[in-house]
Amino acid sequence: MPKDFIFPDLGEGVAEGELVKWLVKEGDSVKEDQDVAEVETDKALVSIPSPHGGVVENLHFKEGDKIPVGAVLMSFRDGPAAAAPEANKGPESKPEPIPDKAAAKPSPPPAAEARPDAPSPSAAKPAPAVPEPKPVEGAPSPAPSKLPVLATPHTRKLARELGVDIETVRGSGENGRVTEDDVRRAAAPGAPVAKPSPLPAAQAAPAPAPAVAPETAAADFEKYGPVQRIPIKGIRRKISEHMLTTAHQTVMVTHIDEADVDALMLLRQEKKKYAEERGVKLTLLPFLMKACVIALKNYPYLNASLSGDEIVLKDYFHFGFAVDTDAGLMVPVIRDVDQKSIMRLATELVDLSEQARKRSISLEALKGHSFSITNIGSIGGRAFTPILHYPDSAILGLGRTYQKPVVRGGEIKVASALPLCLTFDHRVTDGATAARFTNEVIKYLSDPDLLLLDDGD
Amino acid sequence: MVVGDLTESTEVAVLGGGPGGYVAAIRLAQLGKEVTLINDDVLPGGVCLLRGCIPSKALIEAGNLLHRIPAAAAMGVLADNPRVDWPVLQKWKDSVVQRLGRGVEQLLKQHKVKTLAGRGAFVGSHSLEIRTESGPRHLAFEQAVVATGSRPRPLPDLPFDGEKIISSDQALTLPEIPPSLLVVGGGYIGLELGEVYAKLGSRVTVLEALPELLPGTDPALVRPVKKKLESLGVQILLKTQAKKIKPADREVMVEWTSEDGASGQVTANRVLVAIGRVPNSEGLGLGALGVARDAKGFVKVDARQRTSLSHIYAIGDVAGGIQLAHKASREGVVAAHNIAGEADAFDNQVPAVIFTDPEIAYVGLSEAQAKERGIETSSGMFGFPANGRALTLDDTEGFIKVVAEKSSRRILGVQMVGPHVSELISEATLGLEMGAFVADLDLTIHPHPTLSEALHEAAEGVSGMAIHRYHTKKY
Ligand SMILES: Cc1cc2nc3c(=O)[nH]c(=O)nc-3n(C[C@H](O)[C@H](O)[C@H](O)COP(=O)(O)OP(=O)(O)OC[C@H]3O[C@@H](n4cnc5c(N)ncnc54)[C@H](O)[C@@H]3O)c2cc1C
Repeated sequence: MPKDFIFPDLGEGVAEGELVKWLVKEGDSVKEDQDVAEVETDKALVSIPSPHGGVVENLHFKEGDKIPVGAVLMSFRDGPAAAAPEANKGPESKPEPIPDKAAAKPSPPPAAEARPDAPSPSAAKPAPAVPEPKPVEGAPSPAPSKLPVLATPHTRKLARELGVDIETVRGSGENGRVTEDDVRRAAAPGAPVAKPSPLPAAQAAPAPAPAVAPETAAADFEKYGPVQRIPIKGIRRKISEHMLTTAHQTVMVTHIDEADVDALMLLRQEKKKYAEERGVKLTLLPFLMKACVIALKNYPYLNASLSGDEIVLKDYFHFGFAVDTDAGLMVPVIRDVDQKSIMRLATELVDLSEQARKRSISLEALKGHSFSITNIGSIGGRAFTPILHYPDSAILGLGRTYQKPVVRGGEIKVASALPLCLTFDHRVTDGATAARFTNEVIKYLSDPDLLLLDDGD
Repeated sequence: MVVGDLTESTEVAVLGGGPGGYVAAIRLAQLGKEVTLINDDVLPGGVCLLRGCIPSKALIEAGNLLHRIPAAAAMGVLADNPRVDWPVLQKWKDSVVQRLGRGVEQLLKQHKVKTLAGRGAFVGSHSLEIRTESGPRHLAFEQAVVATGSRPRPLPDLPFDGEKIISSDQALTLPEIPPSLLVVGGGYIGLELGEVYAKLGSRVTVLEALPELLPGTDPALVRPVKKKLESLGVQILLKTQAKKIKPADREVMVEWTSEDGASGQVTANRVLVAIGRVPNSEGLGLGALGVARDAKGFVKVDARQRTSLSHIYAIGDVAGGIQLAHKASREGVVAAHNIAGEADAFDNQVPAVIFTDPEIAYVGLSEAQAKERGIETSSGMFGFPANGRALTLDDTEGFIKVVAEKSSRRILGVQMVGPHVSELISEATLGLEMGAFVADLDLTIHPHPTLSEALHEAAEGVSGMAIHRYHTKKY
């Protein structure tokens, strides 16, 4: 009997992966834990180690295929590693890229092959009279004590529409019931997201009927000239779904200001060497993070989320920061910014960006953010309107530092200005708070010595 | 191109017009798809309508009525010498089937589903050949739904002859009420049909290889049914297998042996073989296409009903799992939604219903199944003898049991045996789908006097506080 290797659950919310590359071929002998394939999920590129050793009999997917969690990825032949000829392999024993229903979803342990019901005492016995009419029950086989997710059909449907694997959502309702809100929250990036699904909100928004029918996204653009059509997948799909959720779930306003960062530039210049000697690349960003975390302690509504009928103020300060990767935008999270030194923040910024670019970042490191920073300055641009990192209530965007004339003591001087663009969720707080918060950040950036004195408490 | 060989095209081809296929076709049409339904039966509706659910229930109802008339004497209703006019009963049953089938035909037409009469098989990944009366036709499709259902499984080495060795197909259309009937297989099809004939006057014997009737059903639910069968004079042989079946002139002689070493003979006019059903998955060109099937021939599908070819879906009996019409229909809807780009997946609780006397219905986990999964339970039970409506129906056999998780009181399953429980199970099913807790049932008013009060009281019983029952044990 050949052994099957079932495509494993890669962690919260990942329901399928795209096979990027096989690292073995049919006939190879493989050791336990040897990497056999590279798979790209919504979040990262991961290597898949084999759970057992043996000779590869079949690879059941081609490079480029989508593999659902639970599918048979490959099978191993029993016996010695010698390349035995394929014995009596009829057309019916074909590779099986689709898992049984029982494996594809949380469903009961398959008692007898086709019967998705609980094991029954008679299951192993010869031909019972009729297929037992037993209900399909929602508990997955690996954890037989697990009950079906506590959510109504309506909520389960919403989850499917938003591409959320509801089994992985923590319910905030009574007894852990997964509510509609929980599902919408989980649709945010960094939160568990599962399957591709049509973008539902696109259809949901009714538009006033204009005199001429508007062009739809399904328009026949080819009518007007040649086009290229690129399927939305992987990270791009994740981003587009997330942006739509954010746009539909929040009310965004952007407050724009500038900080005079001469003193900060000087400080950085002075300490650059010190940092370099310790292997750390010092940029403005860790200073800015420190400034923000102190200010956030005074303005907790900007380190918050709106959840159902409540505003959740977070007592932790985990900052997401946007990284531009080849595959698209990724937002790694630095935890406990308030408890880390500037040097430590600088190190983590470099490490996490690197991991994001190489796609080796863990899913965990993309989750749990309470506030985010996005820096367009390295490329250029003065002001822009960052989109919230849902479900955060605020995100700070940085433009490119530039020289500008300022009047100081009646004289015109040249100063370095750092543009700051703070987008906040107007459902959670108001413009005055945003302005006050930004003023405070500016205060610390303009006089970075204050960072030594204050900690916001 | 050969004469008469036309290639037509459609967006979605649905192969098989049973409760899986026709439901998928209508839903697809409702979602704006161009659909062609290929079916080789005289009417849409599949086994369920033509040779299953509907005709069997029609006969069962007649059997029940006949059986109840003498019992009504206790209510003072006297009717002398009730008997069955078998040809009239068959005609009435057929008229019910016709009426429903025509109704489905009409609905398909109204939804602009194209129908093609004939047997279809895949000849390419996007084309079907359909053998119609007027010759072969070709149909190109973008997506397809395989809904070809199942057929009775014969005994090994003993094919159905349609006369003495029959399947449920013929059992529903016999020319007469057989004086004696041997049923091989004590599952729900065998028992439903065996019991009807027992009520209509046949001498009935049931052989079951396993130690219990209705294998897989909570034994507590089976007990009242077994009692009833015995009171109707049905001989039940458990752990028993038919050894030799010898058709003779007028009767069939069956030799049996039991696990306990006993053996014997039964003769009967007809032998109904009801040992399960096999999927109609051969001859469809699925193998050549690379659509994967399991060892028993059931087409493998994922939760969206997709087969190993993602543009081909399979639903209903042919896709494996519990063989019930409502499961086939829900799967049809799941397939249709996915084809139309709507996110849907089969994540449902399937209620089981068995139309014996008394009826059995259940959904979710039994106490034993919960235990197997390591879940601690509390349960409440309420018997129909204490239900007012059941007494006025003079039909009090049975009970309802609600099984809940002990710590949270979340409802895990509901089991019922008794009058009209097939109609009562839907409330429990909705409860499970909604993730209901015992209090949700408990705090819902159930109208009086109805059988549904038994479910209410069973829920109250979880806390040891059913009103119409004295609980010695408090929970
Ligand atoms: C006696 C009996 C009683 C039953 N009672 C109940 C009950 O009370 N409740 C319940 O829920 N279920 C009951 N069932 C089960 C129920 O009938 C089935 O689960 C249900 O019919 C399955 O539906 P389906 O759509 O998968 O296939 P089917 O109903 O089997 O329909 C498939 C259709 O496709 C046609 N077909 C097959 N191959 C081809 C092809 N190549 N080309 C064209 N057409 C094709 C077939 O002729 C058939 O008409 C009963 C079954 C039996 C036998």
